[in-house]
Amino acid sequence: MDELVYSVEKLNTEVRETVRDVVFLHNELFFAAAQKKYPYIYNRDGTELHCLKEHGAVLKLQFLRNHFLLASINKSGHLHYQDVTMGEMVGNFRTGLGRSDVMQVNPFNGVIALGHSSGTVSMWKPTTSAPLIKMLSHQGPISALAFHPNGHLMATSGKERKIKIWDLRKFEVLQTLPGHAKTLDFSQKGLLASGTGSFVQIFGDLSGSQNYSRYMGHSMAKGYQIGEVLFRPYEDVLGIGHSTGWSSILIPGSGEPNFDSWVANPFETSKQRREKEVRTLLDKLPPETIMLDPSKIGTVRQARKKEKPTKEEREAEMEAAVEDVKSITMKKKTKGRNKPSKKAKKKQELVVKAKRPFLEQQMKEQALSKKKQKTREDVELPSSLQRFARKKTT
Amino acid sequence: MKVKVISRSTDEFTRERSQDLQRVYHNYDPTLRPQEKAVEYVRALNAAKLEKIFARPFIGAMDGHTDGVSCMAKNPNYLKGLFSGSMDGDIRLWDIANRKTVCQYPGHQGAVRGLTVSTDGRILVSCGTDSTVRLWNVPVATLTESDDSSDNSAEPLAVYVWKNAFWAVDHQWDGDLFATSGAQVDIWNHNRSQPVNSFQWGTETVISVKFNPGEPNVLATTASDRSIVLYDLRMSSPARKVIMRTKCNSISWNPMEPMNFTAANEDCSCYSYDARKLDEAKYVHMGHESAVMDIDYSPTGREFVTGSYDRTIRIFQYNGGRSREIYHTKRMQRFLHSLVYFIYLISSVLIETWFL
Repeated sequence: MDELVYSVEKLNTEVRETVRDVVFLHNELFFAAAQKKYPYIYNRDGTELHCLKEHGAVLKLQFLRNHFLLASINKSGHLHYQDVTMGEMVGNFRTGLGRSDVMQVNPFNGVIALGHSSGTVSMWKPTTSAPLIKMLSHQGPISALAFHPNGHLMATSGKERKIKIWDLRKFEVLQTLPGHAKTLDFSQKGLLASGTGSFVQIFGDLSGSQNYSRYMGHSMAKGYQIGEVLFRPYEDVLGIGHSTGWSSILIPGSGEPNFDSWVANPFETSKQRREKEVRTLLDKLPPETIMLDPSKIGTVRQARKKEKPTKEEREAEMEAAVEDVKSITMKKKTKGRNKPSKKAKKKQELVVKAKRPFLEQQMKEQALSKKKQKTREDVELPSSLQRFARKKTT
Repeated sequence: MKVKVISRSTDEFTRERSQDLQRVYHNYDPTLRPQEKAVEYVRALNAAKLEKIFARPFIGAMDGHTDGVSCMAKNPNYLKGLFSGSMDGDIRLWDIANRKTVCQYPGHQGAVRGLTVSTDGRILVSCGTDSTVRLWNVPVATLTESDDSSDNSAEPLAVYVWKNAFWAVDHQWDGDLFATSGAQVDIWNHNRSQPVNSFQWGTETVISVKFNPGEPNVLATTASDRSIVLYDLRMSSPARKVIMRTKCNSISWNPMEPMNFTAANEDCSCYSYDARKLDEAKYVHMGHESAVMDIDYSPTGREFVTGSYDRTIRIFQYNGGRSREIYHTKRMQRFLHSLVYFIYLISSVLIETWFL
């Protein structure tokens, strides 16, 4: 975070034009910056490496770490996905929902969410041109969007002064908080930071029941306009970018205290970084693995529905049921009521009773197939010609 | 109130001396590793691919022939033994394990065209363009192993001279008859200098001949008039005939399902037929980019190997339309009719040897 802002400062002085967004690529050596006309890729020293002209005037950039995809949304509402390893353009979609400068990637499944001025949130993956999900979440335009690191919670804020927390497994509102937010961010431990004007608020899930309440607040000197708040991973630090620079404040309990050396190591040596780069490139995921439910990967497709029993099988079943009934020995009744003819009659009744469910089933199926046939016949003739069809004599 | 905030000192998390190992910390929280299942899937896929890249199916080359190898035969009783005949009339018995020549059989003038071994593994039959059929004694396996001396040559048991050049020979699986092909199909007995029976259907050259492994009296041939003909030795005339669009270069019976055979065709594909139902092919195996020159089934009958004019060897499933494996090396050349591939499949370990 420090470094990012530092680079942006430096970049600003260097490029002398608007920089709307910056994002790091797979490690801290490279970053992409969305400038006035095109996004550019720079290295750590500020040397321009690439100009990505196909993206156009980009408003927001996101990088999908596992897939090595750089996603961008430009002024005309086009969503671009570019593979940064080979430079291949993986997806180029027209959102059709107008200009949008709210974009976040869901770290859980790699799906990209866009917030639109109509109050809808749309979710995208690089292999389909239509959005996976379109949900109307606010009355007014959406001003900010953030995902919980476990991927099940999403926070949105609208211009109608509401912050909503969504459950992404059911696509339902869990909680509606009052207040406006220009920017939102979840920390690794699940704290939610919102910034508006010169005031930062931290919400926390203090009870552990997904019920967010106010945890901390911080007001900056009057007149500072907060542009973005961002938690620093593995640290209890919140970075605030505002109209005159950037500040950082301590938020206890926001960062993950135990890091994993194989995932992200704050004390990484350059040799380790080089090794990690190779390893992550080998593990690069294809864009098809982005889906709403990533647990589907590696599972077996469910078996087809069980087929209907054949006629012979059904008959055999019926036969067996009848045999079962026949083999029942009758209780001996009192003298005079123990006639063999009565016994035979009783047995006959039992057999009929045993047969009935099978016959009923058969009748039902026959009726169903007849109905199907009928509808098919109806379908054959266009409606204009149906009056000429021969009336059925029934 | 005491408020705790994360603070890490560099000394605590890095090694003290440069000789020490780097310190490693673990946190198994799944939120730190998003899409772990997909990553594991990709890793498994990459591992399988790398394994295929680094697999080495080429076992070794056996050097010795001074001219191109035209035919090969395996000894059914002794898996280490392999016979090969070359275009200059030289026949050799190889020990595959040691990659050495065990025995040489000089005698043929001109190319050796066909080699086959009797079912008991005692007698080798060879035929060639010099219109002779020669019967040779195969040395006993234990003797050849103890005998480490230099190449020893053998004398033929019998030499039968016939009217025309031969193209192929195959021995009955159960019995002492063998069939040669050339201008016609001749059935021979070990002890007689003349064929016991001759079959002819048309005037074209018969290129290859193979006995059925299940029914000892049935054999299949392919001829240069694009036909596949089935013969039954108990009848006086050929039994069935199929005319294909292009010529079949070779034919092989499935040893486990002996009613099925596969023919290697000039049109880059192989055709599997049921011998009882020849009106259509059961399977078409495509993949080669040039004429398929030879074919051989694995002893399990589940797979077969084909060699082609496009310098590749492919392995097909017996019911698969596309090849499972492709092998090729720089040294493999386009030898018309003279390159015959040979394969052993021993408990799924692929031992492959090719000759140039």
